[in-house]
Amino acid sequence: MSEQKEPKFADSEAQDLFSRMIQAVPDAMKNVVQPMLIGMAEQKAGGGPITVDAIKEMVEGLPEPQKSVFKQVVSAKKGLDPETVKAMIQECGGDISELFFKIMGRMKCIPPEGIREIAKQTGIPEAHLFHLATTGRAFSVSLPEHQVTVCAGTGCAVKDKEGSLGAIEKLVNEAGAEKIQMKKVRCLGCCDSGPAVEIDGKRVALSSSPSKLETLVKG
Amino acid sequence: MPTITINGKKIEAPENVTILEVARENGIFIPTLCHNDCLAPYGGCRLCVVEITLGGKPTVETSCTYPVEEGLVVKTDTERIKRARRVIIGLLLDRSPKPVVIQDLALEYGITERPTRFAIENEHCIRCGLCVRACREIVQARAISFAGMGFERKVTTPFNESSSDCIGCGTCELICPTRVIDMRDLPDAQEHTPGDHESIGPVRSLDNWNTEFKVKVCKECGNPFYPAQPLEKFRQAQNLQPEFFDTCPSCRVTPRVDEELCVGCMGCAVNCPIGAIMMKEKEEEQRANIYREICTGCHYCVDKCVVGAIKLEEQNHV
Amino acid sequence: MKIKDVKEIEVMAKEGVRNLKPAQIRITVGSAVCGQSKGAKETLEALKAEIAKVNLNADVVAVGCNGLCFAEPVVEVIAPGMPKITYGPVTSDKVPELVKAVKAGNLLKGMALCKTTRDQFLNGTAIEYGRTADLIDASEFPPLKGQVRIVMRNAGLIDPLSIEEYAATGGFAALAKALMEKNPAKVIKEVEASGLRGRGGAGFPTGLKWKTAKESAAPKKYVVVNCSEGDPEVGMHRSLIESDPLSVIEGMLICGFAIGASQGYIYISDKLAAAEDKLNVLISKLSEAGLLGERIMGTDFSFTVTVKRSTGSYVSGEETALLNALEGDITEPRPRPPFPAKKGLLGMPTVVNNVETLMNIPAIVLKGGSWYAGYGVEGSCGTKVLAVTGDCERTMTVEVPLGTKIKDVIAMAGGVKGKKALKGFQIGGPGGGILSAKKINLPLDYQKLWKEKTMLASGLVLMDEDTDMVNMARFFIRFFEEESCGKCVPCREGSHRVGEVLDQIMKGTGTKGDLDYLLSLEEPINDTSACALGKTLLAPVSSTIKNFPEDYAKKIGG
Repeated sequence: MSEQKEPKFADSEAQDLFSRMIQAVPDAMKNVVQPMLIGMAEQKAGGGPITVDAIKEMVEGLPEPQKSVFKQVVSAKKGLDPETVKAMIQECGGDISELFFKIMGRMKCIPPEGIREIAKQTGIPEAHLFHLATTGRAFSVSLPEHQVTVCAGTGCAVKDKEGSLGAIEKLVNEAGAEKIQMKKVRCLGCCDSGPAVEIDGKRVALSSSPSKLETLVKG
Repeated sequence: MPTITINGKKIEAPENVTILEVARENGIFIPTLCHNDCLAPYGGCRLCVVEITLGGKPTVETSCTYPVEEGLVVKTDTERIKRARRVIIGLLLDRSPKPVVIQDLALEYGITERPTRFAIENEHCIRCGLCVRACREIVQARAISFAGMGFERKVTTPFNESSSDCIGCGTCELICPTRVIDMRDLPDAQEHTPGDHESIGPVRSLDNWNTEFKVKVCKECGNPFYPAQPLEKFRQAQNLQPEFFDTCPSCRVTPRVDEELCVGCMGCAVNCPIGAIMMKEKEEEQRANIYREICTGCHYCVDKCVVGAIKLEEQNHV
Repeated sequence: MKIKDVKEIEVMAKEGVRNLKPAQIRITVGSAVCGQSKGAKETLEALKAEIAKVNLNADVVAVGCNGLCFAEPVVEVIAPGMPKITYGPVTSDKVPELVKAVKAGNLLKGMALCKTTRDQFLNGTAIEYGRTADLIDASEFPPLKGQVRIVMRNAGLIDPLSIEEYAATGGFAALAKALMEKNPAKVIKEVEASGLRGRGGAGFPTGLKWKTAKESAAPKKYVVVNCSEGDPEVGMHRSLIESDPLSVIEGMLICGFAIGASQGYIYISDKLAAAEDKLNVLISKLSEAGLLGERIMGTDFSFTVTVKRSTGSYVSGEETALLNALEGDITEPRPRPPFPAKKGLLGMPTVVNNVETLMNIPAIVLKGGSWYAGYGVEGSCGTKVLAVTGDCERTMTVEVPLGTKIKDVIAMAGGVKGKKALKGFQIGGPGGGILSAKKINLPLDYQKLWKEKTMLASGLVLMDEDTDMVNMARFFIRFFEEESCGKCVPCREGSHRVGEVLDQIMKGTGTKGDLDYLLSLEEPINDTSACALGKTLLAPVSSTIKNFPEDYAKKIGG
């Protein structure tokens, strides 16, 4: 077996993505393909630790059919396996709040298996983790179909003379938490360009938001 | 020893105590809902508020948390306090009109009607947190917690699913002031939720926590005696023999000391985890004596005895 | 360079001054959160490209926010022979003509806001620019006239990530002075003499808090910076930290030295991610420079700073709930007494200070408490930073001496947008209620505002004649409902019931009895709530019922 130096990854995200890609490679080819991919990824990373972006860039440069196979891995719905959780816990130095932020960034919610795994690995009771996950404004334990983010700062609320904020809230409550989740941000500091609304990550004018949301919910 | 005044009465109080503790010691009643002497003071229900003055203007504080200090002047039943308590009780009534403890308070404070245009949630849980705090501080299983914020706050297990940390001890049921927690021992799970399980025999169910435990049945007498899963946790934690909990405490064989062989070294007595072994004098020498009433049948002493004087013996079950 | 001695700060400062007034041209772009939202990043890149294209010898630096948010992206040009010119808004499409004018040594009239001929810093250093330009001077420019920049002394001026530029304007001189004098009690005396009060809204005398912590015997002490910014009317703390993060750290260091702490935490809202990144970069830079960690500036004083992210809830700004959150526990307030200065983080004496409060400290220690107390009025010394938003002509952040009348701040912001009439305003955050426009003569004064049943928080929100005050009251009650932690009955249940009544009123099914019921709740809920959130719960309702009865009359069946 040829000597293989350990590739250095920038974070647990990159490490996880890479290992999932390797899993997609047929067993017989793993020994050959793995060092090749590591070399290419390191090149894309410019000699530094391999980032998620470097891996994605590398995939773009591959020939078919490998490109499509790996692209599927890149866009596949991510899970929270024990190894990933372990790496995340280490990265955060055991700080549960930081850990939750990481998981939110990755999966947009904190799922039951995540809580169970963290409890198992840290010894912190599940019930306490659940408390922290349901009382942090930045965290969510469920993943709705759509998300609308609204700046509900006073400055924006005052400028909202038509009462669009209230209309959006009513729609969200009627649609139910599984369909739409409303995230209120309090003053992003760009009061001059407010009121700010984002529907599924795209900026929308406040005045047209209620009608857009209605289409989304009914359609 | 700080001297404080409660309702005009000068009292010499010990150090490091709260106003509530001193009041109770001196026969002065202050109503509480979320307080329990076995738990750290919480200050959640706010019913125990009193007016305090320390040289300035009177302020309102919870007596269960406020530490006494020299010169503190306390009034427990001023008009301002009564108005405050009425609002608290009224708010509790709006959400939880049925529990006896709330109705009693309402009667005491003369609250007879509430605004009727509100939706009445009719929830018995008043979010006093006694169950959560007991599970955390006394039992230390930490199986339940508060989830959600503000009015949406509830007491629940994670994701409202069956808890793997609950040990089925029932402390939460015991401590709940509104009797909303219900723990039941049922002879058959089929009876509890018909059609839901195959017949698995006796269960202990805690519906509030969506948690159910198969109850261990004694292989000797056939009686159910305690939830199996927590028992297994204890067994592993205490490093006991695998079949240790196959028999119930009543049927478990209690070891017996052979007084002929015992040399009085006290090795067993010193190591008994529950202090069930005493040394008794017999013919001017001491011999080990195991008290059946206290013995749990863990059999440590059997291993500890270097002369093999302690033996297991079949016990006649009455 | 590594600072091994307190005197070496001056060397760093000299280097910084060379940056601030270089031999060639220096162009700065306001790149804090407000600037970024209006395209500051594109402007910066366009400037770099254009300068290279026309072969202009110039430094382009991303700086913080100088408070002129309405004119973002703000660009300042320092060119030899010319005064410093402030331009805005300079969107990326305007860059070519600006660079052309700069290269020719001309003033680009259309976008020019004001000129500065001299910048004077805390440490006495002054930078003279050119004198003449046909443009209004910054000291006369209406949005800036009357401002006194202590907390915002570096905002929009220096590269926030440059220790040298921070030192140039007097940064770390205060810490060096304190370490050289080796007298923590003297530092606390200066803070007491300054009359500085907590700027988060409670207005507790800072010197007293520090003294209490210093006098509490304990094996360990802590300094915690409260930047959880849960208030819904401001993003101003974010802007302050992004523009001058080193000032926060120096403030913490001085506090640590004074009370005997060696560890500090910055508790920062998750929405301030950019600020958090800057802080982490700086913490490693400072450690390398001998300004953080072991043996700071070669002395016996050691201090480490850790940044912790909060989830941005309002209640996490309550100091005891904050401490619980730092300990990984439930974000709920603790019973008080004991107060954090005696028993705080992990039961140890802890000073929890608002970020704006701490940013005043370097100036106070460098120039003396009585210098600071020279600004403002008795009982309300120094300056206050306010974010002016809502229905104002110019959204901006200002720093004015305490005692300034609210109507003067409104004038700085250009009055009400669209020349409409002012109906009401908010100065105390959601718990400060809404005051009638008749009260604009009130000064920014702690005692006087407390007497009006409001308080001095961090933002001034203007509300014009088209504002429905019942709707605003409902907005604030909804805020309290969502932010209530749920621990105590009056706040948890009370906020929900008050909301229900307001809903009825909004729908048109409210009665006069409802208003009486709401008002009757105020004192009991204030008396029994566990923290300031519950205690000020009814303020939006009682203030609007009192000040805008006609809005309620319209909705309640006549």
